[in-house]
Amino acid sequence: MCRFRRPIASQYTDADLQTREGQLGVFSLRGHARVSRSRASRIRGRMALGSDCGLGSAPAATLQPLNVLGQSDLFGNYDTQPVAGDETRIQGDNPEEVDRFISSSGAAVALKRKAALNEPAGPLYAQGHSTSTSWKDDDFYGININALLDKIEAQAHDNDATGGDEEEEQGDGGLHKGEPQAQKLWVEKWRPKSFVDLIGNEKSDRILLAWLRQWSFAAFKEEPPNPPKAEDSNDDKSVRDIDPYQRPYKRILLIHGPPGIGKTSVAHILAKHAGFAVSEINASDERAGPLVKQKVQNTLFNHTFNDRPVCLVADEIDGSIESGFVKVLLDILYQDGKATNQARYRNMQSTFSKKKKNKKTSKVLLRPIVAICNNLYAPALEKLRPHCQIISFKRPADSALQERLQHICKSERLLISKKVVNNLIDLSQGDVRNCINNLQFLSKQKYSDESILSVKSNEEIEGIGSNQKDTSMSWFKVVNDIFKKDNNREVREQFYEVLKNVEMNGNYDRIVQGCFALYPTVKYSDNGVKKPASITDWLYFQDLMHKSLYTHNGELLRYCPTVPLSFFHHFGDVANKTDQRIKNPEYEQREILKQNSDIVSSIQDGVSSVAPKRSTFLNQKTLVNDILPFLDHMLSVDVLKVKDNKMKVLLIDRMLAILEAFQLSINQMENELTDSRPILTIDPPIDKIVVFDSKKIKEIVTKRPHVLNLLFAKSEENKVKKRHIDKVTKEKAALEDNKYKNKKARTFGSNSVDFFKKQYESINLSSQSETGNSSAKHVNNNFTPGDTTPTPKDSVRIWVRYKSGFSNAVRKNVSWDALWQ
Amino acid sequence: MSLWVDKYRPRTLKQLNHSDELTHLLTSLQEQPRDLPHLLLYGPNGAGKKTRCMCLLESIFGGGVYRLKIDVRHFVTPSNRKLELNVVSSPYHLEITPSDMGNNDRIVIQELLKEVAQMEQVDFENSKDGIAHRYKCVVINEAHSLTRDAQAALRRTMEKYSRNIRLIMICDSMSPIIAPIRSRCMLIRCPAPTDDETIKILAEVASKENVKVESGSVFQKIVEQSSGNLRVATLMLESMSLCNEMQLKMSTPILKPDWMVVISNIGVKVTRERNVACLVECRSILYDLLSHCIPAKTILQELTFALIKDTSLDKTKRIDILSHASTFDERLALGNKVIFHLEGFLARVMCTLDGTS
Amino acid sequence: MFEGFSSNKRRKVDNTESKEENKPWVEKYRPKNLDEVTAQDHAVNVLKKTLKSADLPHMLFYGPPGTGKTSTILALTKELFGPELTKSRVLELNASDERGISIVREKVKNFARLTVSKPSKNDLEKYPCPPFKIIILDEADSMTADAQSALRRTMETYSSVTRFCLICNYITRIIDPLASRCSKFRFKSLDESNAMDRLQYVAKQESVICEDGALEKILIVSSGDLRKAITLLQSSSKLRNYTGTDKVTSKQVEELAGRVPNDILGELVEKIASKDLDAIIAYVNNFAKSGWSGVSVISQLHDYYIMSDNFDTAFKNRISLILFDTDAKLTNGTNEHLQLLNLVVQISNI
Repeated sequence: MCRFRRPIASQYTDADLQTREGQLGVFSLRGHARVSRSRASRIRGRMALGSDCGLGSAPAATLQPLNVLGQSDLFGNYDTQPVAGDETRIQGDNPEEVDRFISSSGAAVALKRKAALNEPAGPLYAQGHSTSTSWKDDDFYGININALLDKIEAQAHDNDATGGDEEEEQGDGGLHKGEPQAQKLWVEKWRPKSFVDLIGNEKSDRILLAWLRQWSFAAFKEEPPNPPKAEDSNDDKSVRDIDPYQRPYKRILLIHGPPGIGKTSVAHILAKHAGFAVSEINASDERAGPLVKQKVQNTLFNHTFNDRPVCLVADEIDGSIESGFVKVLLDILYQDGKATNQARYRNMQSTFSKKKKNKKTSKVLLRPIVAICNNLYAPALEKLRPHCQIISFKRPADSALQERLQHICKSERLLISKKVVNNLIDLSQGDVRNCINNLQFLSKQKYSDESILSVKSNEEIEGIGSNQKDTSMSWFKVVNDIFKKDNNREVREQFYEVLKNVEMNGNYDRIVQGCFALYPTVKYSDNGVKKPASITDWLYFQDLMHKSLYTHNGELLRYCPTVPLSFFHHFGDVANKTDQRIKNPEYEQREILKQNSDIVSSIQDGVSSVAPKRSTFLNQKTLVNDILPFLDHMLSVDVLKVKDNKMKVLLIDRMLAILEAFQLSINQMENELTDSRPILTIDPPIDKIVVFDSKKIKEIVTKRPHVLNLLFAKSEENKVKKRHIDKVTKEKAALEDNKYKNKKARTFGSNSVDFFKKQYESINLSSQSETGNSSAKHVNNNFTPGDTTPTPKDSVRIWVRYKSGFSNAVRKNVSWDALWQ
Repeated sequence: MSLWVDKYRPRTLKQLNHSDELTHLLTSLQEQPRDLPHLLLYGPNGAGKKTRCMCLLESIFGGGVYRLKIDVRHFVTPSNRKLELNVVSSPYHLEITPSDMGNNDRIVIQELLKEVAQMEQVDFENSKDGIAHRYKCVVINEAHSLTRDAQAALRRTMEKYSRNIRLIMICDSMSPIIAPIRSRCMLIRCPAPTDDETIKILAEVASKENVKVESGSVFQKIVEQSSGNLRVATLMLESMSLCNEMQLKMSTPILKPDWMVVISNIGVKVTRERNVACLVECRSILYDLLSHCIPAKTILQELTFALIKDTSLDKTKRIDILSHASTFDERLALGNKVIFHLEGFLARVMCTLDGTS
Repeated sequence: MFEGFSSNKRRKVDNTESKEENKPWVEKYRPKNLDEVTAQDHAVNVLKKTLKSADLPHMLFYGPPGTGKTSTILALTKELFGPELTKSRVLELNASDERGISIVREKVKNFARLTVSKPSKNDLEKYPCPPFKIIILDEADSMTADAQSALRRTMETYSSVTRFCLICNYITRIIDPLASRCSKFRFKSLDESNAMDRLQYVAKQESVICEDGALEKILIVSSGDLRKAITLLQSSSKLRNYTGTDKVTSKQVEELAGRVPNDILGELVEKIASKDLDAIIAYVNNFAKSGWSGVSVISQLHDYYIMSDNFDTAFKNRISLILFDTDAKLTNGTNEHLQLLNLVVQISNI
């Protein structure tokens, strides 16, 4: 944009300019309330120096003379005098509000600016932000995040130091002045900072803390204060003992639960308590590719400048793609497993020394990793789950939540009745973050001159979620009003009022959903079920109209208000006087559905990874409708009651075969029903999908674990047998191979390299026959750390070095067919 | 080791054990593999369409078709969303389920098929008559869920690339398939096995697995319950034998999937009490069923059949129930919120049973 | 390792032969010039005239499937431009190509903008190469309304060098502005005689012997769709190799077309007439297990009831309502078994 410089002095008088400047100044500041001074002044500058921008504020009706217009910056025919005036103006932190200009005639002009209104700094701006022009400080480009973070830290320190009173004062003071100053979000302000602030899930918190403490040997090189609890590791204590760093058996902790109940906060607090510094990776960070690998490696394996070791918190992990972050974690675990084995090895056999250092040293994992997710059965977590210890977080109890909310309200000087708090908790379905947000929202509605806010009635609550216009009501209220009928007023009038309310609200889908949820519980008169039968036609109408949102640009939505009217017509009754709470099971149902379909797809994936041949005949429909229910029946056979031993064996074999065919494993999982101790269940839990009968569900908890125990024992037995058999067959094969190789060696003549190779193989054979460990076929083709039995002490290593270019190093017959497959 | 369903699944055309005319047809097709037309296999669920398709492929290409591996292919929609699709492939054929992608299945058809078609097959495998097969087979599962756009994209591809691709589409019913595709394919109807054939098959399986069966009427009962679905019948047989120590008697209870039991309970409930309280209970049961991944259409179908089976009802009432079922079936197909319509159906049925309509 | 190679000599890779045999007969016998197009005299005459005058309007071909729309325009382009020039002068986009609005804006527009290439002398002699390009948009009814709108201005602006030809089945799916810019050609479905000639020609070329009445049956079954008829002929001729007969029988044709055999239909009708609800339900359950397509059942029932003289008008009235209702529901993708049961029971109740 060309900047035209007018000879200001020649055109206008000073007084004129003053007002014009002042007006422009005011305009710019008013129009762009949050814009920094620098930008405003630049705009002003442009507007002043440019020709009429049509802003209409100035009385400048006269056109500029042509000779003036020709002068523009682009061609550089302007005064060589530096634009000092402008500069001072732009950079001016000029307290006197007097600006200096240099007009084109060279004279210096001083203009006094009219006092502008104070910029109402938004809550995100602290006072006194910098007004320099460098682009980094220009808020147009964004907030200087580092400065803000520093400020937050400083504030947090202050708060910590002086305790709660100051918070109250601050809160008080903020409200007193009537303007929202640098107010923090209450969610951030009231984030729990210590163990005692946490609500709900006490048991899970303790488990988490215990798990973290177990890392103290690895991280701090000190003994853990308490012996490890029994519930943490159910199997091989022996393995744990051998672990040279005394870490827990499962190296990653996975916390899962609904949103907003405190999972991330807990992880941070407990990590701090246990003495770690927390490094967080969440969904907003780059979580794919080499970047994240670098970052994770840095946090876990390098020393930091903090005094404390680092604990890695991986938040929102179910959103990451499988090949990204999850793979990095798996790699780390794998390396750790290898390194642990080496370390264990080293412990047993201190005389062993490595001649050659491998390029890639496997690193032992010495820092804890905590992962947080919402959906435990998300596909991204499939591979990670077996290596994690899983803790589930539930919604906090209403009473604890209430207490906390009351405490917050007291501190923020918000008077609120218990009933309203209860309503709030219901609305948000136990989500603490949501509650606190809503409270803050409520309080913000009226920051008038009152120093004390009071939320007396339910209406305030219902204002949440809708526009805060005075004329509209929340959908909550609208729905309840639909079912009320007043005999004193004319029906037509009421009709019209309901229509008005509905249209004003505009949230047709929610309203109809609410009506649908509520109508069975309101009082109305009916002949049998006639009215529900007839209302269903209207519901169909609503469904179709709503669907037009996707197909016809929502043009048919304008007909939706008629549906609530029909509800009024059918179900409105004088007897409905009180407002009822509307429960919406849709959300929960969707969550459960998602979880179940994830389970089904994980089963399908499991089968396809092992036997793709079979998996082509499976799809979700056949699995859910046909196969899984019968599978469940088959696995619920009560084998213990069978008397005939042969039959028993047969049945058990059958069941084991089925388990393997569908890649189901038997694990210890904690049970939601009993909530006491973990029991054996099938993983992935097919019973969750197919079993409806409540009696059967109880049976799963009580009777089945016995059967599963038996199966588990048998399967372990089979595994050992298999290993043995494999070992023997491998021996045989190796012997035969050896014979063949010997024959070959004889026919080809002894080559120096071949000679060594032969020796290597024969020695290796003898060592292998003692171990047979590599044949422990992992059932899931997953790496399970700690599963490999320790290699024996005296396996000899032979290193054969080949000169590069020597092509008979490895000789393998490749058939023509193999090339084309 | 796997379920009996998989163990006794026929792998070649010769092993197919029901619907012999169909087997003849398929055998004739594979006599001249070069002329294989595009195929459309349709029929009820559990009748063996997929099995037959694999048998046909096996007879054309040899046992190599069972060497399957699964790839994940990525596609980018025009709105720059990345999608993944599982593609099962063997050296001779490719198998996809485009309806997994939902509304974006058109992109799969366009890109994937074009890609496959444009690759010339360099295959020197020795086949029966020494002539290299020049084409690859693409099996499309659940072709009835393809969107109209995808079908439109498909029809042109079928014409243009018929030299390098032969399509085999498997669907439950032919009605959603548009006419141009139907005219370009050979329609093969795969009927469900008759009762006698099913009994014969079950008897064979039972004898091979050494299950002691008291009498043939046990099979009869199973066949009735499974209503033409061979897969369900075999599963039923297996689970019953396991639960009863490999012995089947007349008194053995027939095991049914849980969801079926629940649905028939709803039917019983509805006939017994007809008031709003019952409606509320049924609503929660319906929510339960829906969240356990049972599709709404199945619920409606089973519910209707359960209600009609009751012969004590008046004839006109049953006819009315049927017509309500058909109306609400359409609403389920056209609308989004299934719970509205399912509950509406229950309410209507209650009204009908009351005598008011 | 070299064993594989030697047997290669014995192997014949029949390239040329298999090319021809592999082709579906529909492709093989597609009309290669305008004269070969049967039964669409009106459209063909107009187009022939334009051949001479080299003044082509924008065209919109519509009509039921299998009537020769795509064949006509392809034949036309072949006659206008000859094989070499066609590549540079004709752009064909059909539903298998990406035809979203962005493609319309780029690809189509760019092609339309190009100046017409000068034909070689050779071509000029043989073909009337008129000085414009042709863009063929096949299956235009599956283009979104937005993409179609983006097309309108392009059509107008470059009409001097480019002509558009839209092909669709349902003209209502083409937005009005586009339809008004084109001259519409309606392709009607083929009547018996024309189609019969063509079918007999194909049968003779492929040396297929048919039973009497088999060809007629084919035409009835395909109801005016010539593509369907030829495909049916091809499939049934393949089938006869195995069944051992030389001739194509009408029974085979029916089976291949997915129509219910008459005897089974007769049984169904009997049960309906008996008005015994339980028997009907049991019969339909069995029927559904056979997997017959609901659509064909409906059309056959329609033929049976409406076309026959045994029933009175009121009855036919009510039946047609029920049939229509069920057909609509089936196209919307509902449960076939349920709808069929409902249909049958309603009919029996009349």
